[in-house]
Amino acid sequence: MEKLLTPLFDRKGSHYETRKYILERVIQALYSTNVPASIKGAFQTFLKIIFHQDKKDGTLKQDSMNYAIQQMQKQQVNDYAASLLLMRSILEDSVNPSELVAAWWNTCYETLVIAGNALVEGIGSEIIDVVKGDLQKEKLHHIFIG
Amino acid sequence: MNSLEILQLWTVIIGEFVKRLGRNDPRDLTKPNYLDIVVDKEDLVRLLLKAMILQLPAGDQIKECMFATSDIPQLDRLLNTVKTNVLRVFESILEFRQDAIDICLNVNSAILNPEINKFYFHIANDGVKAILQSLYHLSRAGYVYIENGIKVEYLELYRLNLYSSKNSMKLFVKAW
Repeated sequence: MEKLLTPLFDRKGSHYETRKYILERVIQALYSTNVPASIKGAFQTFLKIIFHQDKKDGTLKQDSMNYAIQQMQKQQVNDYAASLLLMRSILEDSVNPSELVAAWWNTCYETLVIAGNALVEGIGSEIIDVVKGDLQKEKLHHIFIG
Repeated sequence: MNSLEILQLWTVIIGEFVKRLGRNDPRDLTKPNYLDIVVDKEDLVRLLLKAMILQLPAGDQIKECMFATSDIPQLDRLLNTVKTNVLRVFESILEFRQDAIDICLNVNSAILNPEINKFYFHIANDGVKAILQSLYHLSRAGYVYIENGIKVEYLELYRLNLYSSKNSMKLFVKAW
């Protein structure tokens, strides 16, 4: 897939705008509640390719990381998934220089800890509710697995 | 995604940061190692430890055991993946300390001292304690399928030459 998409990104003069255009739409889809999880997985592959093509400039990655953080700061626990998936797509690119990752870490850290705390506390509360109530396996499965 | 899957993803992100901030080859001193900006975060290690000991005291869950054994397969798989991811983070952090000692990385020595640095202090105390206790209860309960949930090799990740409990842990793992 990368071989197919690379010529599109390499068109002279328009490559940056093309990448930006595609990136914005893929991110929209990633955050959309109407898009099935299986399709979101495919969009993540697109994201990785777009970010990999952004290795010289890094602007798209930086903007996307900032977007993911801003969204997480606004969102509830159950809505963190898209932001975390977006972050993972950015981080998994092997060409990221560690200086840049260190800068991202400093930017993300507080938000990640707040999010992690909310997740752990939320799951802990669900567990307490379950333990106080009915312990049937079917019910546990429904609460934790969905 | 349910909240456990999101937590699992969160641990992947922390792990990815740790992996990218460290140096692939610790002896390649031409490349920087940024893990010192992770090991000064006490609130992070506390949070990781909380995630590591999450369990549902229901079904067949063994008491005082960090590994999920509730016998609800999907729940156990998710919880144990979270725990495995946390252990991988700890493994990288402990390797960083060992590399810093072995090859004299330019790192402030106070940051590596488990008596001073809270990250290492909590791993050495709460983390190791939770694992030892869990192994004890697992072995007593006669569980044999734990490798389905957590890879046995990660039980050895603690590189216990860092800590005084080295020999007891090695013996324990071996016996188990």
